[in-house]
Amino acid sequence: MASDPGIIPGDGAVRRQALAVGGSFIVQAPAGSGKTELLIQRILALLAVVAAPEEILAITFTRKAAAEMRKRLLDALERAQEETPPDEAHAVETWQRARVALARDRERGWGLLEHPARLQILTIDGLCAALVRRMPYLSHFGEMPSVAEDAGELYRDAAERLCTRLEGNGPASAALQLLLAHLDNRLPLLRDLLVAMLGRRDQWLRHLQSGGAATARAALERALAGYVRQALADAAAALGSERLTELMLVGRWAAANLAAAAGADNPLAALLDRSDPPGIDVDDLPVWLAITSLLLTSDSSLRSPRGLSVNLGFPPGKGSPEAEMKQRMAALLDGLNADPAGVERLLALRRLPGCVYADPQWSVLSALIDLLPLAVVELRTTFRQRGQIDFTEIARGALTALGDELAPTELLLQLDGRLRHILVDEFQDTSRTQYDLLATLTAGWERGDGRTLFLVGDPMQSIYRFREAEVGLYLRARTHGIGDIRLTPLALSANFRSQADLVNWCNQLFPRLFPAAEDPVRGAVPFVAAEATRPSLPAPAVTTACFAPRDDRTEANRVVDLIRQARQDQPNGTIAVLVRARTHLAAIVPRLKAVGLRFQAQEIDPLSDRPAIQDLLALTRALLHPADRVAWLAVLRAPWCGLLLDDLLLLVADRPEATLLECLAEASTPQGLFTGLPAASFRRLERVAPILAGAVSRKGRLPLCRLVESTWLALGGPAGLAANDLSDVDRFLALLDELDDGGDLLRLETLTERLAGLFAAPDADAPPELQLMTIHKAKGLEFDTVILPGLGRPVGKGDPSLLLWQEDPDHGLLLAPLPPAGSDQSEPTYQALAGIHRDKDRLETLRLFYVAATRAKRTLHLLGHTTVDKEGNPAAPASGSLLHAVWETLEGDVRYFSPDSAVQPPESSVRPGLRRLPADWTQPGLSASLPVVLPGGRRASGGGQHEPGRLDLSLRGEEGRIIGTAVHGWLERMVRDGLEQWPVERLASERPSLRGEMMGNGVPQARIDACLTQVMTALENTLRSVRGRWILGLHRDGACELAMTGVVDDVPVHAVIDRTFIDGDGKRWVIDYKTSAPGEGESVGEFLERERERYRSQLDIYRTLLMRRNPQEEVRAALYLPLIDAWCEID
Amino acid sequence: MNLDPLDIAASGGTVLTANKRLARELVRQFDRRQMAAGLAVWPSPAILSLSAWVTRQLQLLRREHRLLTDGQLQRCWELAIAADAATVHRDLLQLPQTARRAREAHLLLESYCVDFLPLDGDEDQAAFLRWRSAWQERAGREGWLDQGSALRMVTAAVADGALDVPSSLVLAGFDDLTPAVTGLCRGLTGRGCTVSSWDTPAVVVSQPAMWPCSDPAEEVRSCACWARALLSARPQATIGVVVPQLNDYQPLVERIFRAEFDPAGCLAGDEGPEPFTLSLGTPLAREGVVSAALRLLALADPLRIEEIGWLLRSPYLAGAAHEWADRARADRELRRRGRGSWTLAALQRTLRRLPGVARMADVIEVLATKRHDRRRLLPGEWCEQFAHLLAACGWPGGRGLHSREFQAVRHVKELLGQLAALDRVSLPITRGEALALLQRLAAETVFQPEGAETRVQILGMLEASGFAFDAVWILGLHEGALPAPPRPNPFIPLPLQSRLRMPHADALREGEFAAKVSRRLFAAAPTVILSWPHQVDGGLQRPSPLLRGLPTAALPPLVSVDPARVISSGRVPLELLDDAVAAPLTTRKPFAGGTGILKDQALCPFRAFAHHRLRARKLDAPDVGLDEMARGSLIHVVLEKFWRDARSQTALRAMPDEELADRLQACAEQAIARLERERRCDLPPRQRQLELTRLTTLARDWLAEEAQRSPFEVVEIEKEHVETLGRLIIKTRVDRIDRLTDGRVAVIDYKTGSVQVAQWSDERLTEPQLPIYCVGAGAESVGAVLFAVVRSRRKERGFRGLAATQGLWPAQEKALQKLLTERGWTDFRELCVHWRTTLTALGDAFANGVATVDPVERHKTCRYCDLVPLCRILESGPVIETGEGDNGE
Repeated sequence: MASDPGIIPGDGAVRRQALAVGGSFIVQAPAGSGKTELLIQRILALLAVVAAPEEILAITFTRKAAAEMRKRLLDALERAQEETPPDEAHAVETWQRARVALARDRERGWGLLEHPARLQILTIDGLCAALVRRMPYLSHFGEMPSVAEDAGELYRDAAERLCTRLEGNGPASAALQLLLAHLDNRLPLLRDLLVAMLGRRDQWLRHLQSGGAATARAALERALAGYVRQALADAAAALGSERLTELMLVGRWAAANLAAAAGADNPLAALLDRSDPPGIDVDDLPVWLAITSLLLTSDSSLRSPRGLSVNLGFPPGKGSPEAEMKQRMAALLDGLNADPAGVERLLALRRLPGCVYADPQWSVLSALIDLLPLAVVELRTTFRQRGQIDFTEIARGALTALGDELAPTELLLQLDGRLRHILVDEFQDTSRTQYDLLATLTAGWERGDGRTLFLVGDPMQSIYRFREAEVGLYLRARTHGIGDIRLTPLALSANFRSQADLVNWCNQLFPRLFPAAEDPVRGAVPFVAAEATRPSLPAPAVTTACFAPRDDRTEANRVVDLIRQARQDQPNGTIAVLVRARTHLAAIVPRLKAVGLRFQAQEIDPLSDRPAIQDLLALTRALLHPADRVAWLAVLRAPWCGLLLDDLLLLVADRPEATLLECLAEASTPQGLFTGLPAASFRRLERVAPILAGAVSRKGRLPLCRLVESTWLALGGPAGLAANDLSDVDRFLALLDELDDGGDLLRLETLTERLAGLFAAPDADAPPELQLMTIHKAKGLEFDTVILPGLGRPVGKGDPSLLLWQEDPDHGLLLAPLPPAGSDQSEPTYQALAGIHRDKDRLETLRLFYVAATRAKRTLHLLGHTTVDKEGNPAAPASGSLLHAVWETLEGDVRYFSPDSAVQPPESSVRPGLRRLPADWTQPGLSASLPVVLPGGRRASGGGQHEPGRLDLSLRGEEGRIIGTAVHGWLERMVRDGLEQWPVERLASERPSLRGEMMGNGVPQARIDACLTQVMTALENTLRSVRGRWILGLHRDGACELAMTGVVDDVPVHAVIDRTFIDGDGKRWVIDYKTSAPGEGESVGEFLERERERYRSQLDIYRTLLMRRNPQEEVRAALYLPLIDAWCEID
Repeated sequence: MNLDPLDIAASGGTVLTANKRLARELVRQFDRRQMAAGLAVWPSPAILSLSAWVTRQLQLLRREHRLLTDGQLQRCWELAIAADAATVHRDLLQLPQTARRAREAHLLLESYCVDFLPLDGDEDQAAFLRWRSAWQERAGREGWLDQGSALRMVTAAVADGALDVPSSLVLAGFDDLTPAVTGLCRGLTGRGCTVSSWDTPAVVVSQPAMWPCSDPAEEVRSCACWARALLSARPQATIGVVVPQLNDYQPLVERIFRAEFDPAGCLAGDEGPEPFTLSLGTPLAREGVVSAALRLLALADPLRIEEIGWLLRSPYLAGAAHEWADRARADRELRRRGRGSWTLAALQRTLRRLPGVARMADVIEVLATKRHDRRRLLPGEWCEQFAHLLAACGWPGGRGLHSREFQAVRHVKELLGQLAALDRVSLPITRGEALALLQRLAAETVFQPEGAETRVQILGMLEASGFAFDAVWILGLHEGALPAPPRPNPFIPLPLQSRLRMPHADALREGEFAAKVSRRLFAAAPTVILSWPHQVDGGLQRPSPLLRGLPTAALPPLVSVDPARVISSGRVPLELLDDAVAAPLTTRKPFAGGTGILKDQALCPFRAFAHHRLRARKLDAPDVGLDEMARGSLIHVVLEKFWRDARSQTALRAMPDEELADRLQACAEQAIARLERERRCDLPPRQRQLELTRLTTLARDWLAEEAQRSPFEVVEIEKEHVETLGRLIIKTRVDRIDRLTDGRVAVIDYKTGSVQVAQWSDERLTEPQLPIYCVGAGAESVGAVLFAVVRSRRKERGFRGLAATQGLWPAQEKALQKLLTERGWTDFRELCVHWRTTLTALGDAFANGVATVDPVERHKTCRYCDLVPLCRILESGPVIETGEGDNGE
């Protein structure tokens, strides 16, 4: 952000225009142009005119960005409550706009500062989720599922399930067999390729869904032919008819010359007997290819006139026609030499796809067209089973729910009525699905109806192709608008970030790197110059260092020097080391550590590279798998135990199959003392072995992360660790918690796989002035000094894809299947598409470089390597590397370094020793647990205490409980109604409602009658029995289900007494009903004795409570067992 | 009117609470008061939750059996939605959740006593109305009640005198009274009952103050330390920790509070009582014993290898206590066999042959006999089957159940009961459907082991209403949490929700609600601390607008007693020693491991020691299909079998195409059959057929290469040799040895991966197999040392290596010459001398117990090494791969 108001940017008018609330714009905002501030100002401007804040929707690329924009917006509104304008000039505009917005807020009573949720600032995923939540039915989701952190596992599940259909009889089997044969019967490979395809289904699915393979072929081949024709037309236009005619003439002559010599292998054969220039039909392709042979060498460069020889049909000779023809040809070549774009068009002819699919190729393609939609169906099954989806699915759900322009859903219409202004940030990194969503949301908008679209981004900074970003969509929106909405293109040019020299350096370099013309298919974006607003600084803006030959350690030393130098020049300045891939820091990180430079590394250090984490991983694996020998040995060698290799040898004592737990158990028996284990090692084992054995025996009883953590603590795992290690441990444990599967892990490998995606926390104590991160992470940030090492490394190749596709706005979809595994020949259509993808990657790499270079405010350091030739002179850097791209421009300014001879000894000789706790280590004293239990009540009937012993799994126990409850309820009812209401016969009429009760309480249909019979028996017994009638009868001071509380042993005890009354003799009875019966082979006497003992204490409590209530009463207690009409007094 | 509910209860009135928790709390307070008054016994007060009261009234009306349970209602709605979806062909991804949301909408409409027409809603809402009328129609027919209609029925019964009413009644802890509840109150009042409402404990003078933190972890830590300090100073205090977003904070809160309140207990890892009371439990399905039961029921045929591993490791199956070690070994063995999945039948057979796992084999047999049942049965019948299967597998095992496990098992029984209760509303269903229902019940059931109430109550925002504390800390009060973002129910038209101020309807309603709740909570105790995190998941946050203007709290220094911190800050200096040499070998017999020992020794001495002396190997992780190792060995075997017959190039050349094809077909058949025998598991037919085709094609292509070589005779195939290398004796095998025209031999090693001939000349000799043979046989007799690269791609296929014999392999001859020139040697003999020296040194080093961690190329050697945790190489820095993995992410 600009803090220097000194220079007023020349793009002020553009900025003012961008704030016009009535217009729709697409704004190109290059690095350092103050894009976020502009967005905020526009939102403030819109707030001043809308009827409700919900009419504005701002879409950001990340949640972090959304949070930042919201915060800045609200901060601005809050600041606007103050009367005094800010001091900084650029902040004044924001303050003024915020004051207007705030006035509107007050006038309309929005209360934005009290209800910040009314500001709709969302990521695209957040927006989709919100839409889906509003339309559970239309989106086909039902309630919104959770979004998987790692959708790869879901894809894998779906792909593997699809693969199992190989052995089935469905349509998938044939397709799978064909593909597997195609892939050399490598099922895991097929699975992986399917996984990759599922992750990108938003790109291909819509192409495969319409029609089937049969109808597709014609359309696809039409598209291919269209693409070829277009290329021919482009070439024809580039050459021009005059040149073409001349070429045909010379070419025919050369072809004739060659025909004699080369015969059938004549590359120019197509030019024989041909005088007209070729047309642009696919049939003309051979002629065109012959023309390229004439003009271009086999390695695809323009021929030099000196290279015209008899091999090309130009025999030597001084006279006519030899010399003349050679001269005419040379003239043509000279002309083309000045026309690189024309050469480019010709070159493109060599990379054309085929116009039809060969049958084997088509059969693979049609198998894919059949199979891929099935994979998506499987994926949906996985989503359903797991209750989890991926981001793509949310977006698809949102799109489904919105319907389309022709059939908009209710919701779209509703939104249409409400949404009036949409702002999108980072529009250059938009994906196809997101673009479609935006198009749908604005489908009903009409030009001039006051609704506006505001797209901001910088196509030069589009670097998220691996996340399906298509910069071509930005270009398309700029040219054609979105739907009916025309977008006024605006371009910011002021750079508030970098010193003038840096801006100028970029302005000179990048036009040469970036393509000259836009090409939406390849994502080609031309460079737009920036205008410096900050003055030049004395120090050089850019330095370039080249290491020849490659030597990462020397490069690392250079990085250290540069950091120190930057510190010296500007003590508080920020420094960033930015790399394309974090692996490029492999030599730098250890070097920085070695020289004691502390830094914050953002997602650079893999968590699994930390010894503390490896120890925990080993501990986890050991606890879960007794036969994981590596893990167990590692646990015994970790610092907390520290056995030596010799100890381990003695311990496992040539028993390759024994588990370490068995070995440990043996070693700790008296005989174990004779294994020869040294006493000190034995002591170590004595401390550690019981902890491990105890932990293993607890597996499953507590969550895995707690099992591991408690064991780790007990072992002394934290000893010797720093605070940062502890936060790494927290991350590891959080992962365990996430993966926990009933205290275990289903797939042990998942833990390692997921761990690979986690990084150690940045060093919290390190100063934030020195940061290490990837260029992607640095997007949007700025630093005084930026160091870019590793520029000499070539860009990696992507993995092959089962299917390549490319949308061509003019011709439709181009599709090519992966060539067979064993084939040596390249397949032109696949190659052609792969070529387009390579072009896209190459262009994106250049943009990545632009992003990296424009992070710097003061100084930029470029570091890379190249090879040396035999004489030791540096050669050009590897093609495909960033250094190669900038080489021509920079070569003169490069400083060369040969490997430092004085570098530290090679790292492999740094031998890892064994670090361990001393043998006599003891746990430091830990604070005692706080006695925090509240004196609480308990129930007299003893519920909640478990009775270990035989566990009856069958549902009969549950039925017994239901029967008991029912009998209690009905006996209570009888007392309440009075016995006279309850002749035994009445029971039969209550049967239906009893049945309902049984069912409602969970008795299975099949068991209802049996249970019902029991209840009826109990009730009938009671009603028929003299004793039963006495219990239910009318007595003095009687009660049913009497709820009482009393203090027993200083604790309130809650009791519910089934039945109590005072009998004719003045004795109070406490009666508890039990619906139990003697077990098989048990006599009634034995049974009653058992029950008496079992319930004695419960009834004692009842008795105590009642005696306390009225000490005058004599209280007697008894059990009544209606099922057998038995009575059991408790003495 | 704010009458104390305890007074009302004491005078025989009824107290209805918003939830069970508050009822429990009020009963506790009531008891405490009675005890303080010196009473020894008293009638239990009528304090209960509104829903319990409604049920009780239904009981009195003898209608309670018409009230469906939550599970039954849920099922009814699911069925209604599914039936509707089937007619309109709309497949909903989350049917149960949809039903829940729709029920919520239905209850909202009932509670607010309103309705709307399809015309007033959108398509989602129209669908909801269809589902709802399907439910209402069914409920009417069957006479069923749900919460809403039950309340209506009770209200009516109160009004018309069918129910007795208490003299006074107080509603406690309701932040909102819905029109339906208000209606009930009117009815009660009409019958002469005095109805009042109460939501705050006796007003206290409080000084709320805010406490900004950097992130949620720091927040929770501060809160826990503060609470501990407070309780240490005032042991009788009660503390409320209120968390508006309790779900998000739960893991943090549990972990940190446990660490700060019971540091020593954290080491025991026992399921002791928690030092705090958390109002949220965890899903029952996450309990080990429950998850085991569910998985057991869900196992299909065939089993995936990880499922088998799980079965073999689970403590919850019959025989686990005795067979654990053999089971673990069995898992290792099965993994070795490389199959990603096993049929139950094959698995059972295999387990029967492995030592010590008989009971496990029985369990598999049970699973196999209780095979997939295709019938449709009522849920209750499935319950019986599930219970039988579990019992037959010996679940929950013989380990003896812990208190927590015991409670969980009891819950499982209840779950089965709940499932059986669905008989009332369900038609017969498939086993899969029944299982899915059970799984869902288990996932939705919140499990909270019983424990005593504690002085530290951790509650959500709504649950906290009505509680009285001595001090309160409210966590997570950032802008996004309070007021909560609106979350209207999608099934009710928004304008209706807004108009009636339904919960979560819009920002306004959420704002008002937040204001109301915070007024109450911020004054809930003499001390109230309000904290908020600056950052959540990397995103910056502002404090809740409700904190505006509050002072910052002055907290005493917070001291952590977290055991991890205490132990790590103990500052014990670790010993550092060099542990690179172990005891030498004592045996003079061939040492098991073959050439692999020397290869490992060359790659890294530690690796050889760990692999071959400690016998430490990682567990294999078989993937789908055939692994690369098996594929390699299959083609090995095909060629082995072919040459055992054919013996010479002459024979090969003389062989007619058809015969060749037949022979290769037969060899491939035999190779696959051998693999199947070794693994005791047949390949599935189509995979088998594909592999057969691949093998014959590949072998034919390869033999075409062989046919073009100069003539040779195959003299040895897979023959065993004993070699002595320094103090080490090993047995070794060479894939094949050919006699060449000059009488010398070509030593051949088949490879299906990529090869590097340079490995034969490097100092460490990381590819020692053929050199070992050459050293044994003598340099003179060897004419060529070759990798036979058998791959499907033609460019990659062929012989690579070194040739001393002239004229046969020009490229390999050149390779040898180049190598000799580089090293300044004159002939092949000198290379053999180098080999001998190197191999002797490697053999000696291994025999002498040298186990230095010294990878030949750290990045490559260590990247896929299984010993990284054991060798501790990471102590000396990371093993970052130098790959060109791009994209920075």
